[in-house]
Formats: sequence, C-alpha cells, structure tokens
Amino acid sequence: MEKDTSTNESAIGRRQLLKLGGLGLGTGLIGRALGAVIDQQAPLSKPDSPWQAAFDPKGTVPPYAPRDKPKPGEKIHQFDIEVTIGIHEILPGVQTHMFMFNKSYPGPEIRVKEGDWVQVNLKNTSPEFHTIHWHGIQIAMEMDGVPLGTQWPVGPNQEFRYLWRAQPAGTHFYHCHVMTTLHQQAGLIGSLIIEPVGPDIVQQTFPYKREYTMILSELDTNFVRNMMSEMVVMGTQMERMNHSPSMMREMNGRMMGWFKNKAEFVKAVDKGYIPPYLAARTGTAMPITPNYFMINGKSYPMTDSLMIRRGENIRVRLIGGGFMPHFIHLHGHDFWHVCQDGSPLASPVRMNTIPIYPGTTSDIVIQGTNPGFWHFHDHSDLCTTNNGQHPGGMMTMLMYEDAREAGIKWEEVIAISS
Amino acid sequence: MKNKLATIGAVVLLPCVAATTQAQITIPASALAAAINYAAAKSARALGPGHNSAGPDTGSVSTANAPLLKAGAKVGQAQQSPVKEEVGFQPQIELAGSGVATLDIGRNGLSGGRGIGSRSQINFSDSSLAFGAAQRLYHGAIGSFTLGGLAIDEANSGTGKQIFMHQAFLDFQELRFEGYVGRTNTPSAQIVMFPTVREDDLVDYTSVLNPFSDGKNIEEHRYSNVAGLAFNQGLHSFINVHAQHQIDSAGVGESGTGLNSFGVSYQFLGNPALTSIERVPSWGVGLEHRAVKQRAGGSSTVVYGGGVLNLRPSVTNKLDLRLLAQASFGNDTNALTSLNDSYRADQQSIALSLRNLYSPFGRPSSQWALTAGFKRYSKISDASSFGVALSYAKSLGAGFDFVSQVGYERRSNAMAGAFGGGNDSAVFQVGLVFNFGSTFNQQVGPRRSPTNLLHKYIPN
Repeated sequence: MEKDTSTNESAIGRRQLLKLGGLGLGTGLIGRALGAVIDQQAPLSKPDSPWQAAFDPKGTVPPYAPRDKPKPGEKIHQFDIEVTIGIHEILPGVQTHMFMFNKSYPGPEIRVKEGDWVQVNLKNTSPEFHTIHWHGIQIAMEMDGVPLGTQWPVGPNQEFRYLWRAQPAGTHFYHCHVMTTLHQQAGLIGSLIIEPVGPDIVQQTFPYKREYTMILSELDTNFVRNMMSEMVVMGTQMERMNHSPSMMREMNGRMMGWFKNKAEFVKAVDKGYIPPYLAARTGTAMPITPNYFMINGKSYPMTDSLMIRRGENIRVRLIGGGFMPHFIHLHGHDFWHVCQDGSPLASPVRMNTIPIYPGTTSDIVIQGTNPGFWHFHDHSDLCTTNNGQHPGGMMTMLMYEDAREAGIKWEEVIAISS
Repeated sequence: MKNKLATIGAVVLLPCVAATTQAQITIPASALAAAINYAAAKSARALGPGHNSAGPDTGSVSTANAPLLKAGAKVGQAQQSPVKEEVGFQPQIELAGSGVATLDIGRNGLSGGRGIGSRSQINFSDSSLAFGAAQRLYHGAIGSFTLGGLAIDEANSGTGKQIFMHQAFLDFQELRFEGYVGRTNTPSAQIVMFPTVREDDLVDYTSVLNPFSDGKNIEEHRYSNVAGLAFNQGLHSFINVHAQHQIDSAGVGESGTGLNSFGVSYQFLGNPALTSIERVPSWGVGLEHRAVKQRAGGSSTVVYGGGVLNLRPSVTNKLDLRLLAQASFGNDTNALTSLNDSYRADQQSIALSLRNLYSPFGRPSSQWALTAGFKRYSKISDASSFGVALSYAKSLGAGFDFVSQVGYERRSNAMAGAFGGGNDSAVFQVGLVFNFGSTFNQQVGPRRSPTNLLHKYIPN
C-alpha cells in the first residue's frame, strides 16, 4: 500500500517524478535529502532538522479529552464501512472466504489529521456479529468496539455509528474485536494513519515523498474455513430468529456463551451449562497452524514491491496485524526505526531487522543508498512459504527505479538466474 | 517503469519457484495445517454421494445412521496409477464410524427379517467404520475414495458374514457436477432419514426395498453398486442419474453383478444453517426401474417422494414431520411366499415420523420420535402391514447417546407367511450409540458449508 505524500496541488506529483527521473532530470526534485546524487552513489545529505523527540513523563496524556463531543462548526470526517463475506485471492489459484471491510482485504486505509473528528458508519451485511476496535486511539470507552464490553456487537443487517477524535498522531490500525482469533485473521483489519497537525518530525528529519503501509498477517485456511462456517451458521440462525417473536424468546445468553458476570457464568455451569472449551465439547484442541503469510493480504510473489530511487527516503509503516511475531529484514541496507505504536522514538534506532509483534506498529525510514533489487522479508523462515513451499509468504522487494542508471545490468542478472 | 521493474523482481526468483514445483512431485509436502477441532469432526459426518455434508438430518441426537465418509484418494497404492505420476502427496484422511449396541428383548423381531427367531439378543448391527481419503485435483476439483464396512444382523452373525462392505467408491466432484462409482448408498435411500435407533428398523416402510434381495441381509436394501452422476444448481437442487447393481441374493435379476436397476432422483436441500428453522429444509422425489426377470413377475418400477416438514421450527425445541411415500408397479407377483416376494410385488407404502428434538441453548440434548408405516400390496388380497416405533435418545456427550426404543409390527395373514412368523412382532431395545469422525491433514472442506453456499462453492 503505497502513498505519495505529495498533494494533488504540489508542483511535482509522483508520476511526473518518475518520468523526470527516467530522463535524468530529477536532481533536486525528490526531497531535500536528495541533493545532487542522481548520477552517482553519494552519501545522503545531513538532515536539516535534528530529531526533536524527547522523554516527556506526561506524554501519554491525550491531547484532547477523549469524552469531548464535537462542537458546532467542527468538521467531522465521515466514512462508510460495510462488512461482508467475500472471496479473497491470496495467490493465483488460492482463494478463500474472508470477512471484508468494504469488499477489500485489508480494509480501506483511513487517514486523518490529529484532532479531526471521525464518524464511521458501520453497516453489517454479513451473517455474523462485528464491531470495530480503533487500535491505539485514545477514545471514549463507548466507542472502543469491544463486544459485550463497551457495546453490543453489531448483528446481521444492523448498523452502528462510531464517533471519535483522532489522537494520538501516528500509525495505527482498526480491526473487528468480535472473536478476533477468527475475525481479524479472516480479514477484518485496516490501517489508520493519523497525521500530526504540526510538523512531522520524521518528515523533518528524513524528508520523504513516498510512504508505504504494510499490514503483516497470517492465515490458517483450514481454521478460517471451519470456524467461519460455524459462526455463519450461528449468525444465520439468529438473523432468521429475529423475524419470529417466538424464536426471539429462545435466544439467550447461554446459547451464545454470554453472561453478565463471573458469578452468573459459574452458576450456569453448576446448573449444567457445558462451556465450549471443555473436552466434552471440543476434544483435543488443535493449534491454529497458519499456512499463508501475507503483506497487505497478498503472499509473495503477489506482494507489491517498494519503489525507491538513489538518495530518496521512503517511510514504511509496518503493522503487526496477525497473531505471530515477524522479523522484517532488509538486504543490503540499514534503516532507521523512527516510531513505535505511532509515537516517535526518543531517538531513531539503526537496524536491518525489526521485530513486529502482534498489535504493534513500527515506522521505519529506508534510505536509497545501495541501488539494486533487494529482498525485504520476514526472517522467520516459516513465514516465507506458501502452504509450506518456499519462496513465498511475507516477502517483497525493495526496487531501485534508477538501477540501470546506477550501472546495474539487470538483464544479465535475469539471464544468470534463468 | 515501476511495473517493469516489479516484473523483473519476479522473474529473478521464478527459477526458484519452478524448482520448488518440481520438488512437489517427489518430495512429500510438509505436514499441512492440522484439522482444528470438533468442527472438522462434524464435517467428516458427510452423507453419501449427492449430499455432501449437512443433510436433512442435521441436528439429530440419536441415529445410528452410519456416518459415511464423503471423501477419498489414494494412499498406499495397491497398483500403479494409470497416469504414472509418482505419488508423494499427502491426502486428507478421514475416519468415521458409528457404534450401535442394544439389548433387544422381544417377540419375533422387527421388520425385514431382522432377528426373526430370537426372543432376545445383544444387537450390534449397523455398527460401522469407514475410512476415506480426499485430495484436491487440478482445476479446483476434488477426488476421493471411501471404504467402509458395517456389522450386519444376528441372522447372519454365525455364518462368517458379520461384516458387510457398505462403502467402496471413488468420487470426483467439481462445482456443478459429481460422478461416483462403486459400492455406496443406493440413491433412493437418501431422500429422507428416519429417527429410529437403526436406520432400517422399519425398513419395509422407510426405504425403497431391493426387489432382488432374499431378505437375509437387510443392508441389501440400503446399499448397492452404483455408477452415478449428480448435477446441482446452486448447491441446493441435485439431480442424480444412476445405474445400479442391486445385490441380487434372490437370483431374480441379471446374473452376476450386472446392471439391474436404473433411476433418476431429484433432491432439494436448504441452507444447512437453517434446518431447524426453515419450514421445509429438504425434500425429494425419484423413479427407479428394476429389471426383475420375467419368471419372477417381470420388471418393477417404483416412484417415491418425501421430505421433512418443520411443524414447530425452533433451534431449541423443534417438532418435525418426516414423510416417505412410494408406489411400485409392473411386477406380476400375486402371492407372498418368501421375503423376496414381498420386496418386488406391486405395493404402496407410506412412512411418517414425528420427532421432537430438545436442544436447550442450541445444543441437542434429547429426542423423542414416533415413527409409523403402512403398506399394502395391490395385486394380493389381504396383504398389508403396519409398523410403529417409539424412540428416545438422550445425549450423554458429543455424539454419544443413550437410546431406547419399543417397536411393534402387525402383518396380515398373507404377509405373515412370507415372514415365516406370526402376525405380529414386537421388540424393546435399550443401548448406546456413538457417532464419531475425525479428519487428518485437512485440506478439503465440506462442499455445502454455509460460506460455500453464499458464493456457490469455491474450493478453499
């Protein structure tokens, strides 16, 4: 998921940039860091502004009171998000049923400015229950999207309106919080980028025009197939029962495994309720064993490459959207780890392999210092497979658009490799 | 420029991909994702050909109806594959079975010849075990092989014929089409399942009978050698065209194992998620032509139809009615001197079953069922019978039930002679039933899963 941070109004858009670059006329047009480095490899210019982040013991205090409400005249961004079940293609020939936000996996990226009001109209047209949790956002509790914790789950053909203020700035994500083992794995996740109102410290230090968002996730196709069917059966039944007053009376918490509190749960077990985790209902639990590993819903070789030019900085937002840690390694380069869970680090950290744990986000800046075509992949080797076959999975390439100008004879590389 | 370079990246690595593909042919793939939990076990309880998973009886507590594997493939080949490709592929493996054991106390046993002569018995008939293997084929198809046997009636238990091979078939299926060949359920036995302890407890009324059977083995009514083609529309409507060799133990049909029966059936199956809620979750009709020899009265044609009606749709306490009606004609048999006569003589019959399934909180707990049938022969005077069974099942755990049943059958004088017994028989049964299934190396899901129905089946 690539984003060109230059606006429509900017003098040089990305398309123009590529064109000019191809003509060898790009000098000075690709950010302040480019300097005069197009024709030969040269060290990057020193950043114009030093890294300003510093430890602040009050730094976790939300900039805006989370329980505030919009005041008259304040702008509210509105987004419509619909949940459906669709067919997603991970690779040619590998299709699976997934839950989808707006018929897409991952869901559409939401990008707003810090302090903006955001209204998301969630419409559920799937035969299952859903919510949206705004991961990392400092938000009023009622908008947090935890089913049976902060809200009733949104049933089939129901709608729910989320309203919250975007804070803090940084890379975040959103996901369904109903039975996350299934729903998040089965597709209900999307990136949520909150841009700072003031200067972006990353932009100031590492001027960049292009940025990429990479949601890392895994999929156990057997688990998703089986469990989604189970859940769809239940959801389909309950949706149909909603049309019959007599059947509505049959619905109760025990059928769903819903209880008011621990005491009610214990009481129900004493009276014969058999929890679903007991061996009498489940047998021996089989672990979830993912067989596909994805970047933005695709496995290699169908992942999108990261494009760069010599002297260019690109920002990459890595999101741990699955349930496994990943160790993302870039060949031939070191990069800067600049933000964690949305917030700038006290100081950028130089790395070439960065761990991305579930639920975390890490922003890195890659600098175009070594022209060529470079692997960028999870170094946990299991995750570079497709159904057990290597290469595949969580792998992509860092591609220099100006490799030829740098003397890389890629035709010869292909000939040798072939 | 970007697109071109992206292509280069892929090209550079494609030789590795190609090498891996070759390796797949000879090197067993690493263990694939394991089957997950009871959901997988449940999916293993698929029905026979033409049904594919959740059929009309989903949600039943009792039923010793042997779960049949729907899948198969080839492991440990006994002979070389016609296409000589080295086999290193690990197919999905399924095991499914049903243990049924009851203490029967009664008089003259029940219908179809079962247990005649015994006043009491320990009955383990219909206990079955089946093995299946399945794998994905090219272009999204699925191939499978199923092999299974079940224990047969007491009448044959001392003769070395305790096990009857009820499943041995290969199956090929894709989106709209399914073809299968081998020993499996006779297609006419799949329209309605009745909730008696054993599926054949009132077989004279609840099944289309095999006119070639001598009656010594009741399973000959339910299983045959079949070559079938099943076409579906939206995974809801199935048309099955088939040819059969129905087991000819009476010697009244084509000699050997030649084809002696041809038929077509239609079946509608609703959403498997709504079998307790939709008013008519399943129904079907069929026609079967049986080539009975002229000396045995000539060919017989039977038409049949039935379905399930939810009288009180409910996921917690439902009441349903099952119906199967049939009529055969064309055979000239006009006297009943043997069981075989009673299977091929022109007749009309009806079977009805009223069932209450109690499922507090959505999980089956107990079941009552009252099943009754009536039959009359159109070319034989004073030839009729009726039977009734009151069945109870209590779930003791997932797939494990306590069962009890009392059955009674009354035959007219003309029929009693054929059955070699009195005019009536009765039996009380009490016992246990265990249905189970497990899937290993899972890669094939049930064809009629709710998600597949949403998008009309995709292989995933």
